[in-house]
Amino acid sequence: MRLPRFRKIVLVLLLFLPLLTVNLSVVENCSARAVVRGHHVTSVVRTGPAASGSVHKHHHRHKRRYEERKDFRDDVRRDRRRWRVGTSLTAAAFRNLSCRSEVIVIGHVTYYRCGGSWYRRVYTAGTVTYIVVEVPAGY
Amino acid sequence: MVRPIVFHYVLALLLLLINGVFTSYVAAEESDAVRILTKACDILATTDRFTMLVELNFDVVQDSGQKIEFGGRQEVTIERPNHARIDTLRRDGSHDTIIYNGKKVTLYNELENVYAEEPFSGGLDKVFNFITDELEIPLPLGELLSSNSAEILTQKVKSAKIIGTSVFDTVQVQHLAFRNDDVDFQVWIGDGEKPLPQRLVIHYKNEPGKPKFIAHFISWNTSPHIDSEVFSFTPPEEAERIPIAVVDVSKEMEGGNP
Repeated sequence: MRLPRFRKIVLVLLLFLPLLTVNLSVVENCSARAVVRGHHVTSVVRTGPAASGSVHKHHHRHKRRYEERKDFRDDVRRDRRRWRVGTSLTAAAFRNLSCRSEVIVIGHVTYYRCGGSWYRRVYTAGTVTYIVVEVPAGY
Repeated sequence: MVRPIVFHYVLALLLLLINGVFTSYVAAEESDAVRILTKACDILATTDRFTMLVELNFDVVQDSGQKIEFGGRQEVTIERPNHARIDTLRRDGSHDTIIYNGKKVTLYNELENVYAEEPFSGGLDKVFNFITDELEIPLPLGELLSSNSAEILTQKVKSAKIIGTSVFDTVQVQHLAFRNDDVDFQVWIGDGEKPLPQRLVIHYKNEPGKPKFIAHFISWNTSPHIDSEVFSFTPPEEAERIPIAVVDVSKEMEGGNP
C-alpha cells in the first residue's frame, strides 16, 4: 500500500511519540536529582513567592513599590539597601554547594569566596540569603 | 376561564414567597458565618496578651506548574499595644525570629548567627504593615493579628456559608467557607467560651497553579505569662549584623530544599 509522504511522516512520528515522551521524562528526573553541579545551581527549586496567607490580592501594591524602587534602587535608607540582587542562594542551597567556601572578613563584613564568586549574607524576604557581590577592592 | 388565571396568580405568588424565604434564609446563614468569624477576630483584637502555636503549609508553584509544599511551625507572642515576637522553625531546619519592642524591629537567624535591626515606633498594625510592605517579609497571619482583622477578612466577601460542625482532636468547631474575588477561604472556629480559629485554608483561585495556604492552629493561650526578655534581643557572641536587602521583584530566589 502506497501512502502519501506526509501521512508516512505522521505515522512514523506517532510510532515514536511514546518513546520520545519516556526520554523526556527521564531527562526531567535527572535534572531534578542533579540539583547542584560544581558551584552552580543547575536545577532551580523555587522557594518563593509562596501562597502568602493573605485573603486579598496585593499585586497593585507590589507594582507601585517596584515603580518607586526603580528610582531609588541604590539609595541607602537606614540599614536597608535597595539592591538589585542578581544571583542569590538560600542558606541551605549555599551549604549544598560542592566548592569549599573560604571565609574572608573585611571590616565588619564576612565574605565567602566559592570558586570565582564572592558571596555575602543579607536578609531578603525575611530569610538569610547568600548573594553574589563584586569582588572587594584589593582582592 | 377565570379559574386558570387565578391559579396562575396564586402559583406566581407562592413562588415569590418561596424565593423570598429562601433568600432570607441564605442571607441569615451568610450573616451567621460572618458573625462567627467577626466574633473570633474581635476576641483576638481585644485580648491584650496572647500566644499561639501554628503549623504552616504553603504551595510554591514551580516554572513547570508543579506545586511544591513548604512550611514550618510558628510561635507568635503578642503584647498589645506594641510588642510582638514571631519565631519560625522552617522545615529546612532554619530558625528565624522577628522581635518588635516598640522601638525597633529585630530579625535574628540562629543557625547563621546573623541579625538585622530597623528602628520603628508605632502600634502592632503599623509595624505589621511596615514589616510586610517596607521590609518585604511575609507575615502569613498578619491580617488575623491586626486590630481590624474582622473588617479585613470579611470585606468584599461575596459568599459566606456555614458548612457544619467538625471536631479537631477534642475541640468542636464550626466550619465556615467564604469567597471573595481573589480567594476562597475556609476557617474552622472553635465552640466554647473563647471561639478562636483552629484552622485556616486559603485557595488562590486566580493565581497560576491555584496554590494553597494552610494554617493549623495547635494551641492558643489568651492569658500567658510573658517574660519581658521575650521582647529583648542581645546579639550573641560573634553574631554578625547584616543588611536587609529589598530585592528587585523581577528576580526570584534560587535553590533550597523543602
